[in-house]
Amino acid sequence: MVEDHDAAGLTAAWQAAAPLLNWQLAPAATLVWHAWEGEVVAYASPSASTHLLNEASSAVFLALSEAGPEGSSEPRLLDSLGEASADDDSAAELRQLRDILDSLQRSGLAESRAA
Amino acid sequence: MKLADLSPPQIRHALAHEGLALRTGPVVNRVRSRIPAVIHALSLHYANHPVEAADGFADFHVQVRRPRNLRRWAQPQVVFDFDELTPFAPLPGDQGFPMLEWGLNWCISHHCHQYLNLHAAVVERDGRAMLLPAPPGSGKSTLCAGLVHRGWRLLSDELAVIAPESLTVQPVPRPVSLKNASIDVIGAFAPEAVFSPTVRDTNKGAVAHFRPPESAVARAGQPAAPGWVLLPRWQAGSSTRLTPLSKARCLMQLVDNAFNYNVHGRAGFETLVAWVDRSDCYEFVYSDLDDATRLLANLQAPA
Repeated sequence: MVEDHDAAGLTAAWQAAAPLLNWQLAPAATLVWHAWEGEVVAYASPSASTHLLNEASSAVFLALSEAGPEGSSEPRLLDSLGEASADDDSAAELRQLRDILDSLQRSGLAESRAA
Repeated sequence: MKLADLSPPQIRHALAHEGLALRTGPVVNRVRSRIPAVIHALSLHYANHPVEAADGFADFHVQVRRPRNLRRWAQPQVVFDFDELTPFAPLPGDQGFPMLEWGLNWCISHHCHQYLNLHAAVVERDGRAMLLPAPPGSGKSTLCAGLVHRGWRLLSDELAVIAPESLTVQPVPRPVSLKNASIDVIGAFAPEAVFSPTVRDTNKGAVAHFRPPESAVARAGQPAAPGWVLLPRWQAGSSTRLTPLSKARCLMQLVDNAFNYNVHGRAGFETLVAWVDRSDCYEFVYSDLDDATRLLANLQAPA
């Protein structure tokens, strides 16, 4: 995890403010989804709600899907999205990613645990 | 036996007593009424529909009648009974047939949960169904009526009844309801259409029904496979525009137009995904019905 962290070039300040999490899609028992041309629609059983994800959320969702049941750390997700950049931008990108992941979690589409 | 095989006295008697068991696609409706305008409209619009045995099974037992109060003489009203319930407020006395039609739609949309039911017109060509989901006022029924008079088969002007296992749309060919300016548009577009008298001042404005084509009623047992989803929008003065719509956005439109999606839950989502996956999806803007039906005549079926 630490190596991932370094690879993404996180700043120390961001580390302190937001401990890294590991993310995965919600279990298949509660989530069913489909993607057409990178656009995701998903149904969350606990809330009985259907979601159309925007372009950025769809990309994150699909990256989580590729990570499988073991999930992925945030820096690794950034890597897989091709968003990892050098130094100063990385903290902002991680915050954006965290916003999307939080939104997916609130919708019952993703879950997190401490990395 | 078809309704037209019965004499007017036989029809009146059945409607006044045991009920007329009309088959409309997958369901049988046992209908009762003593109201002359309802009897006339039923005889006109359902002439080609099968009539089932009087003592046979019926899915729905409905009645359109005058309320049992003094208003039946002063300001006549009509009420719709479903089994022993009266689910809707009374309507003015001349709205008996529209109320029956709205009630029969409600019977299916809110009770036939073996199907996924959408608020959409449906037409068919070469075995493929085209769903036309849209809110009221979007020109859905007008476009449906236009297509039906240009070679497409009517499955329904109001209900897409989808069997989850097969994804096929079950035909429910019944009278097509037109409102306001659409009545004259279709009257001019298809002079052969058989209309009942226009009922004015309903909560939808002026309403008239035209009789479903005999061929559509005769083929009510032939469901249709997924083909297209078209989101129609009538816009005054617009050119005819057919624009591809992403399947994900199309699916959300179908969810928004579903009556019983919540009943089906996860299976409902999977049904709609499978339906959309096998279909081509479009937004369709039109103002000229001739132009619109010509353009859609050239639509290729999805592979």
